[in-house]
Amino acid sequence: MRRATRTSPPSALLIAALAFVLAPAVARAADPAETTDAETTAAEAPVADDAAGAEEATSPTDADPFQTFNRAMFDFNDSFDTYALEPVARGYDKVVPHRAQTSIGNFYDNLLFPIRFVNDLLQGEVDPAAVTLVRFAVNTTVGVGGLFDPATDIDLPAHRADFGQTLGKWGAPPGPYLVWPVWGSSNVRDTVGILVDAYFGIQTFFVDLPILIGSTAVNAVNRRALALETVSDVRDASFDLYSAARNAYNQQRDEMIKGEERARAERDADLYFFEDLEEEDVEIP
Amino acid sequence: MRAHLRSILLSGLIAVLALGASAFPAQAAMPVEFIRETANEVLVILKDPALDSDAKIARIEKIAYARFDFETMSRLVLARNWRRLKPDQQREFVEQFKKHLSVTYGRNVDAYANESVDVTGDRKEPRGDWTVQTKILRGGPSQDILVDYRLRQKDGDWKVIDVVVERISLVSNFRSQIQEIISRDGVDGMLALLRSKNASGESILPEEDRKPGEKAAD
Repeated sequence: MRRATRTSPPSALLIAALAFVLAPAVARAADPAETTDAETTAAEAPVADDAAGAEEATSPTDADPFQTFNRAMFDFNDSFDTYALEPVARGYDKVVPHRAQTSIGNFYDNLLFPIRFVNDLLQGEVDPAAVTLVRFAVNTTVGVGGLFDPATDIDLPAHRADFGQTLGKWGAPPGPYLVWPVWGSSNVRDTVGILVDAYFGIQTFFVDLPILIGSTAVNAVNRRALALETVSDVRDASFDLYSAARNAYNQQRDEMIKGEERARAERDADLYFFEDLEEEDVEIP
Repeated sequence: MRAHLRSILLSGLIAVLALGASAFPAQAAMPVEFIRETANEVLVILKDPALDSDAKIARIEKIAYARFDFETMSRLVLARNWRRLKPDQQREFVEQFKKHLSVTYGRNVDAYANESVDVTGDRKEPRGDWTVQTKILRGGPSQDILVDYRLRQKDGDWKVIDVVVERISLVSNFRSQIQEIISRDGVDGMLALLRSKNASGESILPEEDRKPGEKAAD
């Protein structure tokens, strides 16, 4: 069985789609006028007859005290995606061949080496750190400056590591869910992580600001182009895209921090909890 | 003849006892075969050059209808809200959820022409459930996708009750959405939203082919 640290390129792709790109996506179902009730969490269904039973219904991962702010950011990201990012990505997709997109994606992925390596070490993950190091060496040389990913072909697949995850493994709780403009899904812990990683990454490469901005834009458009179908599939498949994105982010981050087995056990305990109640014939309000 | 019948009865009894006692060495291979068989059937349909997209979607829908336990999925998605729904609302939810899953997941059949499916493992779960882990190999530069199926037996057949794509449980994801919508719009609002969402996507199978409990074409 694979360990959590494995989180390979498909996961990275999906996280890219769900966490970063999905956030700027349509919340067709969401009517802003109806989300003004900030205190209404998912747990508090508008059924007046039972305040008592409400607390065990919702997974703690669904807690969302800043939902009003988050929904506003989500709607902004949605417009940003609809009117800017996605059209640009579609144009880009027509011009740039898919293989080139993959290579550009590989190139940016390879640049994450210092962040991943340091975080692997901070997490005490010695073997993954070694994998990260060898991947960087192989992909930078044999893989022509990171454009290709021969390391995966020799069974050294990529895994993500970031400072938010490090903080989580050190025991920091995620804190409330947050949606940031353009960036998308996050939480308090991961926001700190992003800032630390970004500062560290910029210090490492000390590029000029215009180059940094241009490069970030290319990376964003390229990622969006690679995720065109995934995002439109997820949009079609969701009833409420905002909570779908939140749940997906929470599930994947949980797994990256707790490891596959523990995250799964906790998720299943939550999912099948109500069946236990039914079997024991406990009155469910 | 009689001895033969008795041995059938006896083995049936043993099977039942084995199930009840959760002793299942003989049982273990079944869920994996179920998934392998289903995946192969779906792939044969996807790769059949004689079928157009609509025909492919219709056939895959039939397989999904026969092999997914949409009622259990609906109960898990609604969780404690399930009992808040009146019986006719429960029926409608199951129907809409079923339609939604089939329409959205059948929509992109043409994109999956080069795929193959590897079973990478399986494990026993509580309540007699079984999880089969698979990897969808998409070929070319496209990345593989990890998909786990959680199965439960119903009337002696394995049925899918959850799909976990890249560690994201569909049931958990839909539960979040549905709870969100119910807390905002109430049960009636939630059902109305499902109806309108399904109406905006095309319904692919003609109504007369949507008989409940229909078996998949073998």
